[in-house]
Amino acid sequence: MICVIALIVFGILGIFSLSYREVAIEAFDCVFRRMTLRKCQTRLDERARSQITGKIKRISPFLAKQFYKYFRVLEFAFVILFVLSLFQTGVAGYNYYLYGNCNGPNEDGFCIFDPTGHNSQFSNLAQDSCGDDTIFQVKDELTMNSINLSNFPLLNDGDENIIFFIGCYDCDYTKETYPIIEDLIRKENPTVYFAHLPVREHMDLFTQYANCIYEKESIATFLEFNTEMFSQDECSIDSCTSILDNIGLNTTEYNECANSNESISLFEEQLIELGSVGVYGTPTIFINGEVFVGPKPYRVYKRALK
Amino acid sequence: MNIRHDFEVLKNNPNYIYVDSACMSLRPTKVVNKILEYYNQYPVCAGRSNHALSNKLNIEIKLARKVVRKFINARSEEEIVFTKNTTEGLNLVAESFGLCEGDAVLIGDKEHNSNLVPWLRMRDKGIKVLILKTNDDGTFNMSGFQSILDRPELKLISLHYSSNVDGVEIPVKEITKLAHSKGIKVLIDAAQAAPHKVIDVKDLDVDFLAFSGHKMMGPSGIGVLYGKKEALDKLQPFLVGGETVKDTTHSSVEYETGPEKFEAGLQHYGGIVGLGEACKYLMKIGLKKIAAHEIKLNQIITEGLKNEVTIIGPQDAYLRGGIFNFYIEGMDMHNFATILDSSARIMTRSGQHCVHSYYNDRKLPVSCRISLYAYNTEEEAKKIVEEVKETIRLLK
Repeated sequence: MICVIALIVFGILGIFSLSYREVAIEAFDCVFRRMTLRKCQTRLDERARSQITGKIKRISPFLAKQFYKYFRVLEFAFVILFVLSLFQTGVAGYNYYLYGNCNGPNEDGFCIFDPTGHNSQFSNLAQDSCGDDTIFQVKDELTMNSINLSNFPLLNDGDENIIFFIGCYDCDYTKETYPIIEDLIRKENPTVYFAHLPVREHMDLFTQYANCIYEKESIATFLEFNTEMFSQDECSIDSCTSILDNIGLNTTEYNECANSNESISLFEEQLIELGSVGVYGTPTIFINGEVFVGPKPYRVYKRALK
Repeated sequence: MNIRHDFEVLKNNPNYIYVDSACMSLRPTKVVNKILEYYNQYPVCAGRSNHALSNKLNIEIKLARKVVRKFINARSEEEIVFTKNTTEGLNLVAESFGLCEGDAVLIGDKEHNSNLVPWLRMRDKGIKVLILKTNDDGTFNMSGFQSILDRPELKLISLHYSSNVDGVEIPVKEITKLAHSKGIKVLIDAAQAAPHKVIDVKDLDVDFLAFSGHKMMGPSGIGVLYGKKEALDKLQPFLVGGETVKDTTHSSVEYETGPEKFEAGLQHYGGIVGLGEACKYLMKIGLKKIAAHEIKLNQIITEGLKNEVTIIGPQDAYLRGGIFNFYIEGMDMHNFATILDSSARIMTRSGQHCVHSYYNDRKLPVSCRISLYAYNTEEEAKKIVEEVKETIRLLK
């Protein structure tokens, strides 16, 4: 039975090393013979049994005796565990490919393919927000079922692929994700709704600037503003007005617009809508109903498109 | 006797208990350095060119042949043929002796495959292979031997000097005397004897005797076939080519007359000089001293384990030299040997030790062989006893 494990493990290691390849060939021979109801001739299993027994004997002859005696049982258990673990590894690999996370969409458990957990990190609204807690209550699931998107900036209306991008200008993970989304937009041309969620209180005004640009100018100018804002090391009112200057907008006009009652009112309406989504961190990206929290590889977003 | 410090592998791994010397001995630093000397100082071909390096090598080869001659007390260097190993030496005689259809060769029933298979192959040429059964305790069956000697078709006797299965020696001198009295030639496989005991071919009066370097602290890939001058002269060359001839035309060949007749092609020069050094090393320690040391260690092991295991061969350690080959009924001796290695770094050998025919004939199970040599110590022998006992308890 242990030859099954040896075949898989040494088969993989054998790709890189001749010595492991020899063991893999022995293991294959052993497995093949066992499958055809013959005795394993290479004695690989017996060698493993006695080598491990010898090593245990150095520590405890009693344990070594038990190991040797119950080797077949242990071997069976190990093979079962190995098969289960192999299956789980396969599932983890599949999940990682689909969601950028071994444990499935937006899970926060350890992932061997992403050991630092980078793909699952996000700017936590509960920690960073000083806003109205009642708006952003934690819900069981993230959903777009009851949101009204008409108040959010829109790109490419009418495409069958619909993306709802929720990010914040001064959050590291959104900054990291935005260029990927830009790339996706450039290549796939989907319909995209943009929402700026101010994770920190001083960022409210940025949403209002963005809304004003979208209302007064065009989606192209809005995207230009977004690109600049997401590429800032640190966002401040000064840096924001400097961006307005750079893209040729009148700073005074936009300061007035951003601070107007209409803008504040629109911002509050947007917050209420975002609250209905159940968003708890940025970036949160809905693509055709699938949701991704935290920065994911390009392939994950691309796969969610139709 | 403590010569462990002469061996790099033992110096670097003081916990190693190497008791697989019947398969391959360890090499002292002196031998390794001598081989390196060839590759570093005169790495050229011998017997052909006439430059400084080649001349230096020629001298070294001559010296090595001289040392080997002295090692077995041959009459002259002309009687020393360098081969690859014992197997090649035995094959050389089998193929070149000139046995004809209807002739017979006598071998023992405990021969290594190297002294069995070449003869079994000769049966294709109509040569009979007679097998002499050993006594039940593994000792030589002298009465059986004497009764076979009268067979007129018997032309050659090929026997091992001491067995790698149980260490038992045969009375070579007496055997040879009896064989010669009937005009039968004698070939001795001394692979297991040359490393452990004084061999005097003049005294033994054997016609041929083969042994390997790798079992006597020499390099791998080098061996010796001793042959009486007149016996060698009668042998046809086995492998032919460069070095084996004096002159050729497109239609004729004139062979060399000395040992070169059998040393075809460029030789394993590093091995030859290394073998010479190994012979010197063994002679310096003293082969009688080595033999006595091995028996002493074997007695410690035998005393400690005789009630725990089944010993293959005589119970008396004195008759088994440095070999302690054993099995335990119902126990997997391959696993046993592996556990000894992985738990205590006691390196033995398990299996049928290339003597399958004897194991099959006697229905012996796979065994674990401890083969001792000069570098093993009493402490090691005691440790072996202790570990074998513990492993038996573990596997029962």
